[in-house]
Amino acid sequence: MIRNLSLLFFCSGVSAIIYQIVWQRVLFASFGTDVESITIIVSVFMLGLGLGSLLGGAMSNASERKLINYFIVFETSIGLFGLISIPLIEYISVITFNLGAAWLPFIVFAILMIPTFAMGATLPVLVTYLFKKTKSVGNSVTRLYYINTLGSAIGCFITVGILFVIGTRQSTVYVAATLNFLIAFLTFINTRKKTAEA
Amino acid sequence: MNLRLALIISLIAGFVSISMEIVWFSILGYVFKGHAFTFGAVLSLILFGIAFGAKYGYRSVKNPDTNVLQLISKYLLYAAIINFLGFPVIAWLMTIHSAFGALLAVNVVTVSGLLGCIFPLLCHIAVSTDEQKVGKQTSLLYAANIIGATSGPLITGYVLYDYFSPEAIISGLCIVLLLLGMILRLLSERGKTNLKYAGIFMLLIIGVTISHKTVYTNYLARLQYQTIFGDDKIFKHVFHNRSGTITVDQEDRFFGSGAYDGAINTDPWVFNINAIDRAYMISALHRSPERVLMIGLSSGSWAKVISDYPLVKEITIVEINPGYLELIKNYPEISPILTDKRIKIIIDDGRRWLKNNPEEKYDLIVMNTTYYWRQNSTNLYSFEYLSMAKTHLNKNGVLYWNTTKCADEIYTAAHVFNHVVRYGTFVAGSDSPFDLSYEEKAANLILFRRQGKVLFTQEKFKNTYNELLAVPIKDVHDSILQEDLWLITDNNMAGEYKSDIWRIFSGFTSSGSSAK
Repeated sequence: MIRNLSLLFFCSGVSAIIYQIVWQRVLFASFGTDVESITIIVSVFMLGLGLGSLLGGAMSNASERKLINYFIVFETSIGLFGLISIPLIEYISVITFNLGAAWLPFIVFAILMIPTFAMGATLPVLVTYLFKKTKSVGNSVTRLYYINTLGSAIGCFITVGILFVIGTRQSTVYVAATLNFLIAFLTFINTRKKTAEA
Repeated sequence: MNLRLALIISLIAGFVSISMEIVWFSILGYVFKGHAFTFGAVLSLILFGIAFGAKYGYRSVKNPDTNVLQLISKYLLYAAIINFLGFPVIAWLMTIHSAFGALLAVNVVTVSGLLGCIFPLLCHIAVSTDEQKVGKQTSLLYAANIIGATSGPLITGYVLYDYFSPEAIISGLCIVLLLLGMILRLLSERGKTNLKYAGIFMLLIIGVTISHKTVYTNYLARLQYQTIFGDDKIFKHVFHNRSGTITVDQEDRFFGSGAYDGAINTDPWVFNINAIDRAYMISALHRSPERVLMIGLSSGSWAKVISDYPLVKEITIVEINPGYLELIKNYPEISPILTDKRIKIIIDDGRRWLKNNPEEKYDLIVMNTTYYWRQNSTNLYSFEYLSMAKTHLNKNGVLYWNTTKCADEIYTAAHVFNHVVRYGTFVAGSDSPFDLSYEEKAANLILFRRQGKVLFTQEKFKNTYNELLAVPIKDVHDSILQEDLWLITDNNMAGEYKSDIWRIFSGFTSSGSSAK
C-alpha cells in the first residue's frame, strides 16, 4: 500500500508541475509578461500552496480512511479544475480586463485558489496517513517529499521536452487531468481492496 | 527542537531557496539566451536537487547520535560556499572549454540539494511523534517554508533586483545562509569548538562581503563569449533591474538577457551591423505612415531612423524594460528620441498594452521582436496576437515585424492578412495591397534625414538608395500558404517548441527553410 501510494504521489508531482508551467504561460499571455505580473502570479501560486498546506494540517486529525478520502477528493478536484482551467483563465482575463493592475493579485488568487489549496493540502494529509503506518515522522515526510518532488522534476522535462513539442497547452493540461483522475481512481481501488482484505 | 525555531529556519530556508532560484533563472537564462526550454530545464534541475537532497539528507540522520543542527549548519555552509564561488569559477573554466558549462547544472543541483534536505531534517527533529500533532505540525513547517518561498519573488525578484546586481544578491543570500549556519552551530551545543566554528563562519561572511565584486568581475562576459573571451569582449555597459540584464559590448551591440537585441547604428551602408536598412524600407510599405506604434525599443536605433522620416508625425513606443532608456542616454546619436515631443514612450507589456487600448489606431506598427525560440515569444507573433494587432491598424495600415528567420511566422501572417511581403528577416502584413510605384517609393525614401541632413543625397549613401529602391516588393501571401508550415497559435506555441525540433527530427519542412 505504502509503495503504491508513493507511486501515486509521484504522479501527483508530475501533474502539479504540468499545471504550474501551463497555467503560468496562460496567465502571462492573459495578464502580461512584465516582472510585476510574473511576481504576482508566482507568489500567489505559492501562497495558495502554503494556505493549502495549513488546510491539510487542520484536516489531518481524521481517521486513516478519511485521510485517504481527502486525498482522493483533492486529486479529483484538481483534475476537474484542470479540465476547464485554460478557457476559465482566458474568460476571467477578459471580464476583469478593465479592473486595473491593483486587482491582479486578487484575480489570480481567485483563479488558482481551488487547485493550489488542494495541491498544498495533499502533503500533510498523506504524511499523517503514512505516519500512522510507519510511526516515523522523518521517514514519512522524506519519502513523500522526495517522491513528489522527483515527480515534479521529471514532469518538468516531460512538459517542455515532450508534451509542448508534440501537443498544445490544452492537450498538456488534459494529460495532467488524466493523471489526477487515475491517481484518485487507483487510490480508491487500492483502499477498497485493503479494506476488503482486512 | 523548539517548533517555533524550526518554523523560523523553515521560513528562511524557503526564502533563500526561492531567491537562489530567481538568481539561477536569471544567470542561466542569460547563458542560454532565454531559450524556451531553459525555464523547464532549470526548474527540473532544481527539483531534482531538492528531491535527492531530501532523500540523502535524511539518510544521514538515521544514526540517532547525529547532531541534526550541526548537520544543517554544515549543509548551509557548503551551500553558501558552492553558490558563491560556483558561477564565477565555472565562467572562468568556460573560457578554457565550453564543455565546462555542464558544471552549471551540477552547481544548481548541488546547492538546491543541500538546501532541499533542510525541510525533512527540520520535520525529523521538530515534529512531535504524537499522532494527533504530526499532520498539523508538518503542515505548519511546510507552510512556513512556502511563505518564505512566496516572499522570495516579492522581495528578491521585485525589490532587490531593482537595486542590486545578481552578484550582490548572491553574496547577500550566501551571507544569510552563513549567518543561519553560524547560529545553528552555536545553538547545537555549548563549548569552545563551537566558538571556533562561529569564527570560521564570521571570516567567511567578511570574505564574501569584501571579495564579491572582484570574484564576479566580467563573469557575464565570460559566460557569453566562453572560449573567445578576451579584453575586447569585456562589456562596455552592464545594466541590471528587475526586468532583466542588459549588456552592451564594445561594438555597442545590445544583449537582453544574453540574446542579441539590436545595436547602436542608423547608418544603412558602411557600419550596418544591425541591418538597419530594414527600418528605411517602411518608405516602400506605406504611402504616409503618420501614426506609428513600435513594440519594443531596445537600442533605440530603429526609433531614431523612423523619427527622422518626416512623414511620421507621431510615434508611440511600448517597451517592457525601462533599462533601455537608461542605456540610450549614453548615446548622443540616439538619445534625442527620449526628448522628441513626437515620441511617447510607455513602459508596459506590448500585448497587454494593445489589449488595454483598443481605441488606439495606427498607420504602421513596427516590431523588431526577439528570437522566435525564446520563452514566451509566442505572445508577440501568434495568430491571436497578430489578429489583435490588426484591429489597431487604420485603413491601409501595415504591421511590419521581425520573424528572426521563422518561416512559420510568415505562414501565420498569411492567415491574418490578405497581403504579405518580406524584406530580409522582416515580414509586412496588410489587408491592402503593397502597390507603391517606383516613383512613390523614391519620393518617400529621399525624405529620410540623418543629423538634420537629407540622407540619401549624400554621395556615400547613393548606392544604398538605389539598392533599396530596387528591392522587389513581392506579395508572398498565396505562395507561403502552399508550404508545409505551422500556423502558430497561443495554444500550440509552435515557434518556441515545435519549429526547430520537428525540422531536425522528422524532416518536417518547417521554420527557417524558406525564410533564410
